[in-house]
Amino acid sequence: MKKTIFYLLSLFLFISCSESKMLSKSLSKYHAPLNYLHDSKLTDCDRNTQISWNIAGPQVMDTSMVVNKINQKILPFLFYNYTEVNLGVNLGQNTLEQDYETFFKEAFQAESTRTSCYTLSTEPEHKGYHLEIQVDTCQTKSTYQRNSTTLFFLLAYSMSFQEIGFPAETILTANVKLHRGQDLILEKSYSVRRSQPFIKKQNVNVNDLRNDFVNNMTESLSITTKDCVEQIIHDLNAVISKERAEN
Amino acid sequence: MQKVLIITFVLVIWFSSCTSPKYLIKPASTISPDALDHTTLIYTPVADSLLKASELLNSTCILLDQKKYGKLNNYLEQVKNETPDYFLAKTFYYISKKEYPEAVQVLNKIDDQQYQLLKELLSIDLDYEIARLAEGKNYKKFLQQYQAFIDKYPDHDQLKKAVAMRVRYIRYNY
Repeated sequence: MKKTIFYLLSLFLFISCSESKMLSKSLSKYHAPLNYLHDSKLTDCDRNTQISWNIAGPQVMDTSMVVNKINQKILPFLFYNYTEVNLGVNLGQNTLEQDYETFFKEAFQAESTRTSCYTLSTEPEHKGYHLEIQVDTCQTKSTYQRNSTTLFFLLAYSMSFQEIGFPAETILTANVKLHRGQDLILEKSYSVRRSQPFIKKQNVNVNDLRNDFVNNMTESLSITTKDCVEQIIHDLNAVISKERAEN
Repeated sequence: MQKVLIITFVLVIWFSSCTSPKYLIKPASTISPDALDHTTLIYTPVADSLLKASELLNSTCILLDQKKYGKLNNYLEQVKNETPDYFLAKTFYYISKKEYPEAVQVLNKIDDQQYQLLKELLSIDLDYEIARLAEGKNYKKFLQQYQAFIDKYPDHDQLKKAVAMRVRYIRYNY
C-alpha cells in the first residue's frame, strides 16, 4: 500500500513538473512586439532646458519564461470526471522581440519628444540637470489553465480538453532622481500595476491561443511602461516649470 | 423529429459562428468604444452630421448593422452614381464582404474634404488587410502609420480610441 502511494505521488510530481516545463517550452516559441500607440497630445512647450540622462538597467526581467504550477483540481465522480491545472506564467525576455531596457529608453525618448518641457541629452553636464532612472521591478504575470472533462455513458465515454488564458498583470516600479548640479531636486518612486484584458476570439486553436497569451502579456508590459513613462514626464515637466518660475 | 433537431442544431452552430462582424461601421454617437469587445475590433466612427446629411450613407449604415448585405448591394445598384457618398457607401460594402482590393479602388475615388479623415483611416486599415492577405504583415509599420494619423487629429478623442482598437487588432493578428 505504501509503495503504491509512493509511486502515485512520484507520478503526480513528474506529471506536474513536466506540464510546467512543456508549457514553458511551448510559450517560448512565440515572440511578441513591445510597442504601443502614443495617445498624448503633442505639446509646444519651451524645450530650452537640457537634461542629461541615463537609465540604470540591471536585468529586471527573467531571461526566459517561467511557468509554475499554482494548483490542481480533480473531481472524480462516477459518471463525470473533471481535472483542472492552473499554471502561473512569468514573462521572460526570450519572448520579447526587443530588449526591454532598450524599449524603455525608446519609449521615454519618444514620449519626451512629444510632451516634455525639456530636451534630453546624452552629454553629461556638471552644472546642468541630470536624470537617473532605475527600473527596480518589472514583472508580468498571468495564469494559464488546462482542463479536461470526461463523461461516461455505460460503455461509451466522451472527453473534452480546453485551455484558457487569463488577463496578464504587470507590476513596474522605478526610481527617478533629478539633480541640478550636485543638488537633488526630485526623487520619486513610481509603482504602476496594470491588468490587461485578454482578447477573446472564437474557434481558436491551441497555437493561436498561446500566441495571443504571449501577446497579452507583452501588451500588458508595453501599456504599463507607457503609464509609467507618462507619469515620470508629467512630474519632470512640473519640476522644470517650477524651476523656471523661481529663476 | 430527429431530423428537425439535427438541422436546428447545425443551424444554431452555423449562426453562432457567423455573427461576429470584424468591422463595425456605425454613427459616432451611438456607440462607446469602451463597450466594444473582441467581436468588434475595428470600429469606424461615422460622424452623425454626415449621416444626417446623406440618406445614402444612413441607409448603408442601417443595412450593414442589420447584416443585410444582399439588400445593401441591390440598394447600391439602384442608387448608383459618382458622388463621394456613394463611393464611401460602396467602400463600406466591400469591407463588409472582405473584398479589400475592390474597397481600395472605390475609396480612392472619394474626393471630398469632409470624408478626408475616414478616407485616411480606411486607407491604413485596407493596406493592413491586404498585407495580411499577402502574409506581409508588419506590426511596426502599421503602428507608425496609425500614430502619424492620430497625431494629425490630436483633438479627436474618439478617433484615438478607435485607432487604439485597431492597434490591438493588428497586434493580435501579427
